[in-house]
Amino acid sequence: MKRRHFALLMAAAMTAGTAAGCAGQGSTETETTAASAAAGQTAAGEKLQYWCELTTTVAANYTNLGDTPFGQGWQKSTGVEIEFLHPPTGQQKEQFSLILADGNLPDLMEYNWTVDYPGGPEKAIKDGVIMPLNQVFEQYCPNITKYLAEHPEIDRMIKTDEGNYYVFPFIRGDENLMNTIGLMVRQDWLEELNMEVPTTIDEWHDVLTAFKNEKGCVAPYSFEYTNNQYLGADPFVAAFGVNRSFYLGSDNTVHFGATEPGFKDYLATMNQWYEEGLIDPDLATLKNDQVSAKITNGQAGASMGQAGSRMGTWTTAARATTPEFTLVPAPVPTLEKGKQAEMGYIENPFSGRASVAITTSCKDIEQAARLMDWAYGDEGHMYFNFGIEGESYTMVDGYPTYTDQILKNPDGLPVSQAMSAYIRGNYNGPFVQDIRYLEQYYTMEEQRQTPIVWGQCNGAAHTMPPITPTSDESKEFSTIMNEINTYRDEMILKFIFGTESIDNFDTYVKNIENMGLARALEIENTALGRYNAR
Amino acid sequence: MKKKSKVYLQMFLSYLCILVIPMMLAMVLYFYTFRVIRGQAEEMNKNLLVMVRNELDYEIENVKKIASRLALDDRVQVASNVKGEFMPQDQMNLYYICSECQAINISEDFIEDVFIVFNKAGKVAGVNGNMKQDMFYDLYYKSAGFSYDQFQEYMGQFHYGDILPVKLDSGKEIFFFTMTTLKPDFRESSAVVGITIDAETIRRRLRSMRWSDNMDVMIVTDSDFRVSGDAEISDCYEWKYDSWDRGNHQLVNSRGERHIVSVLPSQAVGWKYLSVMPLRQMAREAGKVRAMAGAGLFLCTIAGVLVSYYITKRSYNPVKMLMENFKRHGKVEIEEGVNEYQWLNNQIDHFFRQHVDAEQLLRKNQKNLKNYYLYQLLQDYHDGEGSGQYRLRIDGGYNVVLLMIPVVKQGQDIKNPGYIEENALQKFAVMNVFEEMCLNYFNIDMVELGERVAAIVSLPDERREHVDVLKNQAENLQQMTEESFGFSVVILFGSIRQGWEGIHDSYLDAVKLEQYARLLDAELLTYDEVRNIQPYYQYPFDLEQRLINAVKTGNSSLAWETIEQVFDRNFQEGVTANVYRCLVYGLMGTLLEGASQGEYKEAARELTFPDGEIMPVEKTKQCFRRLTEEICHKVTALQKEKSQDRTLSKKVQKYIQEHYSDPDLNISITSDRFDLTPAYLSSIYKKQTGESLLEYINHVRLARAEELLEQGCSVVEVAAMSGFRDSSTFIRVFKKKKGMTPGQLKKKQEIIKISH
Repeated sequence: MKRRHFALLMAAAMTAGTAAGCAGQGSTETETTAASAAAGQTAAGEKLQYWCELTTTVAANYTNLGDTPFGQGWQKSTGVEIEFLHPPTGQQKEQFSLILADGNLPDLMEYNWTVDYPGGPEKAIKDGVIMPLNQVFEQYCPNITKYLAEHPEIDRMIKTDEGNYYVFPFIRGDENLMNTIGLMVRQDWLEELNMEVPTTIDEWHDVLTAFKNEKGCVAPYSFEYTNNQYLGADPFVAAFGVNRSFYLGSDNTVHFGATEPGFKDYLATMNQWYEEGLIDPDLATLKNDQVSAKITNGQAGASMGQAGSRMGTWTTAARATTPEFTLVPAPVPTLEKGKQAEMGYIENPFSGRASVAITTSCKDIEQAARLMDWAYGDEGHMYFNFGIEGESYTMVDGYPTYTDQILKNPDGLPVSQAMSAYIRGNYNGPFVQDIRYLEQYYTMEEQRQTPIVWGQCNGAAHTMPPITPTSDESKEFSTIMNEINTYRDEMILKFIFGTESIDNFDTYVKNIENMGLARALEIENTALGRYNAR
Repeated sequence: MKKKSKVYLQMFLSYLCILVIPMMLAMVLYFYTFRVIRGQAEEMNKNLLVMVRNELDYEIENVKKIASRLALDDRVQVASNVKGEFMPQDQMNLYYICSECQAINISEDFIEDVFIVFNKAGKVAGVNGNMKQDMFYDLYYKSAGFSYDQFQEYMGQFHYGDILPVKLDSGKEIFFFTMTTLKPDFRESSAVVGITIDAETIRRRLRSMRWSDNMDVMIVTDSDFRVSGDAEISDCYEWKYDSWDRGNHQLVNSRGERHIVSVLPSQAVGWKYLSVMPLRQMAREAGKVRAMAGAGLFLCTIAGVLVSYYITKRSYNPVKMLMENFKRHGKVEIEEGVNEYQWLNNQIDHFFRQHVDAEQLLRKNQKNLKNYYLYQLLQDYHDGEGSGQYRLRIDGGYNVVLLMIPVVKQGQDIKNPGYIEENALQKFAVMNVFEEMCLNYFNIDMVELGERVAAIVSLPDERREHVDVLKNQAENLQQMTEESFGFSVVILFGSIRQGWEGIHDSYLDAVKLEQYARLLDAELLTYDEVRNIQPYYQYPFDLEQRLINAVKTGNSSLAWETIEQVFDRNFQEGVTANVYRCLVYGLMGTLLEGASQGEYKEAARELTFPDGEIMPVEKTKQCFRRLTEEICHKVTALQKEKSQDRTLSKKVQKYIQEHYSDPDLNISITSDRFDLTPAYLSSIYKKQTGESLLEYINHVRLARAEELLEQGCSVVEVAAMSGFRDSSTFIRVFKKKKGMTPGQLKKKQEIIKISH
């Protein structure tokens, strides 16, 4: 009897001991499994991955868009969790290529799918990178569908020739929002030197020379040469009636500006200026940091850029040490005084920039689509342009007015940075931009002049509509243009620096033609024909 | 129940003792786990450091490779040779260099910045473009601790794979990795390739490689600059590069917290990789095990105590019940402190011993009583009263008694214990075998009677057939004992009688039969067979006279003839045992009378007569024949002797009485006097007187001595006067004959005299 009980107790004891021993290990394993399972789930499902460039005005204060009040509010308002992924500043294209090569695509990608995807948007769809959105719009996107119905000219822009929607577009909702880049010059110096704001190339030459000689500028004209948008918008090129790349000629055909005679004049002028020390000697590698430094510390007296992020920012920064610092916009220069410039940088309402495609890696298309569509509705429109009511704006007589949080930031942030924390209206993104943002964004009188001053040209007539070559054409086109562009960019620098004599311009043109420019133009014109036929 | 009860406590404690096993197990488990965890942690730390070193060293080596590539780059070489300001013609070159740096920066995520400092031109070309050194410094590397002058100076020196930690004003910590362009004008630092590594990048790497969130992995550079994955954990120490050797260390910080530090030096740069882990972290890991073991132990203990209590109670209850039972019935109290088991054992032992004794006694008594009752039935008239209580098989109907007598073998001493034992066995065999045999037919009870066995058989009626059946069985029994046990048994059947009283009668019949059986030399005899034997013997007077005369004259043949006649006359038909006995005594008397008349007076003493024993007739005859012959022979011999001189002895006696006082008188002197040999004289004298000659001499002498002692002579005098050679011989002989010494006799006589 007694032995049996002993055995029982013994067994019980051993079981307990073993159980204790096992439990320790067991629970750890379970935890681990649970943890990894949870992690896997999050990574796979619930959070939407949203890839976009972190614009400099955000990057100044935040490392991730999700950390901004805007990013958090967006998720809160839509109830969708978003994991924002950003390429290193200035390396958007490179990382985009890496991601495509890797194949592990984020759910949503904000990019210039129209222009920067090799082969164009139709190719992106055919490559299985992004989803065609016609059905998605129909099923899940009442807001954008409504907007496109009301704006057929934009509807035409955001489609491929085959009629496929492919992005949630960034649309400039007002003409004045389309000419945001232009020349600017130190007004205080001009006054000091008793000069007018230059309107012709010659006047510019005088002003810059004066800056160099009188103000001791080492780089009288300095601008962010590494910024392709600026290169495309360069008013000095426009002054010679050409464009660095393709433009719509008066004959309603596509032209390639970089090989036209006007471009030769442009290069000759630039080379002259450079050799005279009127242009920043480090031109080829100029980035915002350096340009900002040079403008604000007086090494440069003229530059190019946006009224907000450049003119406003620089003015605010420089006035800390130079109170009289004033920048004023200068119109697109002309060759003849008093004539209005024919060319000029006027963007399309839809440029393809900062537009969001749903990639084929996206698991929850409906959720992604509804998230994006929200921005095109009333609530989303207000949110993207003005942020959170009561925090970043209040309604005054039916006008959304930014609060002091934005306009007089308590932490001393420039307006552009304060705005960037709350809205996307001041730069870009998948929404319709509201002019009312700009009306308030420009706090200085000089800034408010910019749309008028910069708009003094016929640029809109020459801006290429967002045409889309077929994928075959596109492939051929990009092959040709890669070569041409590389060559062109290198040659432009060489001509400016004087390493290559301007006499060799014809050889340069011949080389480009030999690279298949005619074919490229043919493709562009065909595509334009299709676009016009939409 | 007394709580003090020893067994209860013992039980409870012994059950509880089992709990020691899980307790010890849990303890051993915990300590073992702690050790294992610590060993594992150290091993993991070591592996971790090897991993960290492999990765970071790889990155550093990679950085070195990139730097070397740039340092050897043709464009860089060309640009580095430019003295003074860069000219427009140099711009393309710089543009390409920047592009190269950007390409590197894009592909290498470990690198924060790549730049080349051209000292001669006072310019920098890099990822962020070309610019003057001061602008480059101001824009990207402004640091209170590393001024522009220091920067310039540092960049002006010769470097080969040097690494310099700098804390920037922006709060960023960076490492400058520098390498002077490798060109023919050796050791002239015209251009320095700089690669910046953000400490945060390293920190992230370190953090991601940790295997526990509660530990820190860090780098300590040879300038005591530290990059920690999780500085909070290791901030409690001063980390000095020189104080750490490769291996494992223990460290106690100011708050008394202990840490385990593992160290592994880098193979690429002057860094040491350290992992710092609070000991409490391991204790926490082990603590989980301890908590589980503790919880298990606690449950185990609680359950164990409860189960032990329950089992003890259950196990003890029977003991308790038993004890109470004993206490109640035995009226005994258990003393305090006595082991219950021992006490119970004693009680039970005691109880059973009593019980067994009583039972044995009872059985023996019952058997004895039954035997006694049967004995009574046999020995006396009995009305069968009380027969019910002895479980008798027989009843008061018709009964027959059988007497069974194991035959004593020739020459066996019946008083010998061996025989008694054998007899007991025989009786046992007979009783059992016969009972067994008869029980098939009749009810039977058997009882021992001395050396015999009596069987009382109950018969359904008095028909003779039943006896025949019994006889058959009796014969079987005899045969069986003969064959199987080697002894024979005489079986005597009494007559069939009715009623309890009849048993005695039947027994008497059987007893009577015993003599007949001997007489008839039969082994199986029924009363009916001897019923008609004549009760008288014929021994006429004339035959008696004739026998006497024949014996008196020693005529043996006549005597035997006469005896034969008597036997023939009586034993031609059966006689009763008594008759037979009387006849034998009659004949013996006759023979003795004859012998007596024939002067053979000692015949009765000298001869062996058959005693009252009843022997078969032939044996008796032979016995008598031998007797007759002996007596006759004697009588004849005596008649011859009568004629010889019988005075010789008288003459010898007379001679002795005259010469007894002579101490020399002895048998040889006496025999010389009568011219006979001493031996012959002795034998003749003895024959004639029945006494030895020496005895007679002593007798005479002692008689005389006694007389003299009475007269008051001294012992010495008496000895001399009564013919003893010395007084000691006298005393010895006297004492032998009279039972006391002469002195004692004398004293006695004196006392008697005085008393008179």
